[in-house]
Amino acid sequence: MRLNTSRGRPLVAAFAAIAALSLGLTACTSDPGGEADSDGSLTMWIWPGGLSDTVVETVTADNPGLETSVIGDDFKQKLLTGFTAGADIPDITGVKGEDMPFFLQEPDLFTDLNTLDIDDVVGDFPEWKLAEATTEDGKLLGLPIDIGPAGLFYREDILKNADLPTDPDEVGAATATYEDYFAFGEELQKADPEAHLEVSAGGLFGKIMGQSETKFVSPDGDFLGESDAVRNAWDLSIEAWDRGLVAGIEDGSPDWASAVNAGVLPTLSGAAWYAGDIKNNAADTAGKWRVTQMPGGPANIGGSFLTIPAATEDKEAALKVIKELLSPENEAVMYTETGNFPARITALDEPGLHDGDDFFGGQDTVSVFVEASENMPTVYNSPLDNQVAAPYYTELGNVQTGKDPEQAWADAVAAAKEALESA
Amino acid sequence: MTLTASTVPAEARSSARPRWRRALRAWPAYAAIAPFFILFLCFGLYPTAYSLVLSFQKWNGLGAPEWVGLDNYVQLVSDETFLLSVRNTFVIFALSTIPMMIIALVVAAMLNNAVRYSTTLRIAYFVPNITSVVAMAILFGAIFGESFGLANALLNAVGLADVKWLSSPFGIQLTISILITYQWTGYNAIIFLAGMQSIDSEIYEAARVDGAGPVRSFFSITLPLLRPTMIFVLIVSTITGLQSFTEAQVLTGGPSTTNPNSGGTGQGGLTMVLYFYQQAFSHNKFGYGASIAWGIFLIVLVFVIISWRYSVKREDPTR
Repeated sequence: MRLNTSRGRPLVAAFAAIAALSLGLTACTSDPGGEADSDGSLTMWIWPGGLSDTVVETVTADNPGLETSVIGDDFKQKLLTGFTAGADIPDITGVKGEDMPFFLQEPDLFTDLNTLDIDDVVGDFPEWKLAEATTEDGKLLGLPIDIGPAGLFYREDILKNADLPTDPDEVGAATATYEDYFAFGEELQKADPEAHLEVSAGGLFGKIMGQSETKFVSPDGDFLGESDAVRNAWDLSIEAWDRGLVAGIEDGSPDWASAVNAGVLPTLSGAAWYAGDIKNNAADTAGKWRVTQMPGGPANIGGSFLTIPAATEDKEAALKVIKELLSPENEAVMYTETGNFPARITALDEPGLHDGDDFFGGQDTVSVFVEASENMPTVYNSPLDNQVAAPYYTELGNVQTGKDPEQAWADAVAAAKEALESA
Repeated sequence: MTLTASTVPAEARSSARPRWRRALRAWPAYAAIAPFFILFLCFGLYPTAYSLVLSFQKWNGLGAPEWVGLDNYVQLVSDETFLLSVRNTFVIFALSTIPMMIIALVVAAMLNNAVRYSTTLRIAYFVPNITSVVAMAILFGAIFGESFGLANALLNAVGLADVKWLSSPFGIQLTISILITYQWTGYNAIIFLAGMQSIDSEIYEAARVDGAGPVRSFFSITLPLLRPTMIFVLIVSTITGLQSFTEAQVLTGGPSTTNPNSGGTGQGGLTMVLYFYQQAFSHNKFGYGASIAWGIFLIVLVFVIISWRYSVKREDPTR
């Protein structure tokens, strides 16, 4: 007997290996729908920092069947892989604002939330943000988690040293248009020659385009890369560069962090969540920052959605979880924990939200962003915007290393046209 | 007759037994090698074949793919950005491989003569190769930062001007090359060392008797006898160098969502593989991305054939 087993062992092992492999292979073939749906459990995908951990914990306590996977790196790609394979699609998934135009091309992958009972909540979200998740024929694919109303962050102490206004309303008034803003920057540089208004020409270009109602591609697919809006954003970016107001470094790079800490970038424009980046990278400057309205009007940069894929079996249960995640109390918790600005307007009335932020010297920053959100334009984002816009950013980078701006513009337009034609 | 009579049945017996039965008898052996081949089929061969099909299609990753024939390849050969990415890749390849080979040879020669701590030294030189490329690239990003980086601080300390490491096309290529050199020198030094240790010590002794010093020995004995090893290192470096991606992606990436994976300033860090990644995964042009990938394959193939032909031809006379 003993002899037999010892001889049999390699065979058994080989069998086991093959069995395990074939199991693995069947797992990689398609298995539409999750088997877990029927027993009341729900799966949710979100990226790190997309939702507040506390909120997810609270909601999971009420819905023990909720299983949340936090998925890092290329979130869109992983979701796309799930959809393409038709397997392991989550019951609820986050979709980043910049990826929404892409997914709007295939609305059948998602549940039209208008077919569910959302009447009690939908009025609480800004119309311009809902429009980002609405198809041409009126299907609503997601409810917004957060929005990215932009503001102008500035170092109060540095402006004070330069004898410039420091009160948020006064700074806002002094930088109402880009011309005002650039003049303000030159005043600042007279007192502090090291200071720069903007991080990079491309960054400024992106923010001005964020303020524009039209982007690079029209709803009919026409090329807008030579439109007044794009040309205006380009000219202002070049002007800021020519006038020496742009530092010419990469946003979010180690150089950027050092510059923010060193006070070389006393003004920074960006979305509400940008405050989180500043806090994380320049904790020592706490209390010295303030925020006011963006020069040139409000802009939205980013802001994500929660969606229910079409494959989800219990859509009502999924919607219930989404409603809980986006309740006013939870949205307020999310803002204090992650800095993601609540998309739900009623969340802004939650107690404590207007108490002021110590990093901003106790300023009530929320009110600044509320004002921006209320004046936000409704825009059309084409799924092709990113690839058509890319050449402009590349060429603005080239201008920073000495390329002739007019040549750069011509090259950008040519490359953008080609990108649209070949798309 | 008896001879043929006795041999024929034996042959007949072996040929009468069908091949598959012999294969069946050996099934445990096949089962033992199966895991690799099944995994290779599922995750190697199938995706490769599918990418070839994809390169004749236009597909955004979600909708129905559209058959476009050779359109992607026609676009590829006239795509200036692709040509730029080919040029970038070769600049980075040259800037990294040549210093790397030289430094690795010197390091190997020193390790070969090291009397003490040779194992510790070997491990130390090998560590960069097993460190995460992403972690190293982030660290390099900090070291080569323009205004506040360590590299420029050192240059300033010896009276030199700042170098635009990560904000000029050539600076980016230089930084990526330094990173690749740092990462692979130790690995190749270990390979060279193995090659050096297989050289018979009697040859060196004979040379010493003839009055050759260490330098003469190195150039007249070590280098010529190291030729096969050097060719191996060159081929492997060519394949990996032409496919460089991670270093460029992390060093020039930033957190940018507006223009991701574009290779930084002047697209200086846009390598061939990074361009493929950008087109497929940032711009959702999976068909065009696949055709870029096959373009890269052809370029790498040409270079491997060149190095291989060269090595075979030069080795022939010694046989």
